[in-house]
Amino acid sequence: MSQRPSLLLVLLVVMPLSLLLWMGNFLAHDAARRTDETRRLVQDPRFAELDPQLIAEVRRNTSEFARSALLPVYLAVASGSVLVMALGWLYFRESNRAMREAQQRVTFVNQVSHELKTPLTNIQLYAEMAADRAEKADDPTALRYLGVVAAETSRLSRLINNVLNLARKQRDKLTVQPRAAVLDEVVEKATDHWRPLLESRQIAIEMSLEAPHRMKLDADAVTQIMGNLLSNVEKYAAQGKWVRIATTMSAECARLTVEDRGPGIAPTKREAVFEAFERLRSDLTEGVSGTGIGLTISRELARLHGGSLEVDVNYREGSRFVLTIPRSNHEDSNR
Amino acid sequence: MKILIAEDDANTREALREVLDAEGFTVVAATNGVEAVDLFRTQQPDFICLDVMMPGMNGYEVCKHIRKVDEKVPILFLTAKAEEIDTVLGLELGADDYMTKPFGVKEVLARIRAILRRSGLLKNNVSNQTFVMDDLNIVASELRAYRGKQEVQLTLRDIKILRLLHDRRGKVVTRDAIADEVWGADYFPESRALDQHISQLRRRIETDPSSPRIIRTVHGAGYRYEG
Repeated sequence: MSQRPSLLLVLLVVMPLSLLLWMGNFLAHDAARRTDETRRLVQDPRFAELDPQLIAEVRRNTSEFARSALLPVYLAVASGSVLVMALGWLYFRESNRAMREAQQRVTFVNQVSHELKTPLTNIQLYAEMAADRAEKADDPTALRYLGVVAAETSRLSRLINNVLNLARKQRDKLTVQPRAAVLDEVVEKATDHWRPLLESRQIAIEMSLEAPHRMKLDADAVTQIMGNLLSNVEKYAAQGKWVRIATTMSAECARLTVEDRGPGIAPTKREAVFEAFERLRSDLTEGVSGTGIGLTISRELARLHGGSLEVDVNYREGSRFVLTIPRSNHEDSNR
Repeated sequence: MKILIAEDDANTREALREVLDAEGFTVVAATNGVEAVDLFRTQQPDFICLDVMMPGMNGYEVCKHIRKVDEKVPILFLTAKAEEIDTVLGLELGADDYMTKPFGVKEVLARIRAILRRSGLLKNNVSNQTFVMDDLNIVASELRAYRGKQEVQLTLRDIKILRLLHDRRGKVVTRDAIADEVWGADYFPESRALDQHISQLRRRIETDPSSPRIIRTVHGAGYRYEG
């Protein structure tokens, strides 16, 4: 169970129960104090001078008062406690069921996403094998078709990874596994995957790669970020007909920028685009398909590297996303 | 060089078999974990590609079984599970690398080559590690060739073809001889696999594939390297 239902359980059950017990205790103490006081008065020598029959009557009434006054208090406390506990148990059961159902939904999405990976692997493997044959047979049309199949497979793969990563993020299980790699090689490979799709939308790709040294990064995570950024260019900035992908490297960090000449992002939306499902509320995205989690996951992956993913506020010609990955744990090489 | 593939999905298994076979590896395939352990005992492969989720015995258990008797044979996990704990578990059990689905042909081949290079297995399986043909420097143990700074990726089969032509320089090497030496019993004489392979190899290693200097055609006879 998460923190919130546990806290609510404390508030709804433990606190009223404590209050009820405290009140019961107070009333019982008060009744006992008054009974003791009456007993003390009855035992006073001056009281003994009164009629013995009257004394007996008062003593009997005092004992009965003690019993009759305390019993309802105990009963009220007991029934109140039972009621509060029953309500608490009902709430606990309901919230537990809701949690279980939410967990089942997440597990189901995870399971489906995993199950999709094997057919996706087969599509990718056979598309590449067919492309190899088409190349041997010198069939450019078949090659072009198969290029689109490969690009669409990459797109589907990226979407599945976004869904899985969101589920991991919600469970605080999203991690990156940095290994020695060259940012330029990762970026080049990721761009190659997207090239057929971008070119089919007549988007010219300009590249300037200047991060050739080895550093520690999670190549899969950077590929995922690149995929999400290029997918956004293809979806929202295709009319700009241009994308520039650039890397730079300093002693402190490596930087990747992806810029386009699309409509850009309004200043008020520059942070909002990184919120999960934000696109669903945005009129900018009307008629454009998507899940609305790509940038959320991308920023989280950047942060897990100790870096950042930002929208460049000074860029005016469209939008420019800047990914920064620190080289604090970099492995220099003599390449 | 023999590779064992243990994968329960028939399409993935057959694709890997075809791709690795085209690279010149001998492939044995298991459809489940128990069969994988049996094939490991009887076939003694040089390399193992292991799926994690398999019926009967999963990939982790197969890996444990293999590592009990062989600490060196390279193992590459191919799986849909991508959680960090799965990766860590796989590597802790003694796998050499871990690849998550979906993956493509180039990616899986690059990963297998990298492990083979690291393990030094290629050195034991490929004779005469470095040789020169024209301006091409061929490093068999790396499955690579270099023309100046330009790097060309080669397969085991490419190396065998080039080695054969190099060793018989100046002489015609018939198509049958190449088929026997390189493909062995797997080659069907009526198939065009050999010519297609040579044509593709030329595109990668020749400066001008339309006027080849390394693999020249001798019409009606076979191929020749002038030397």
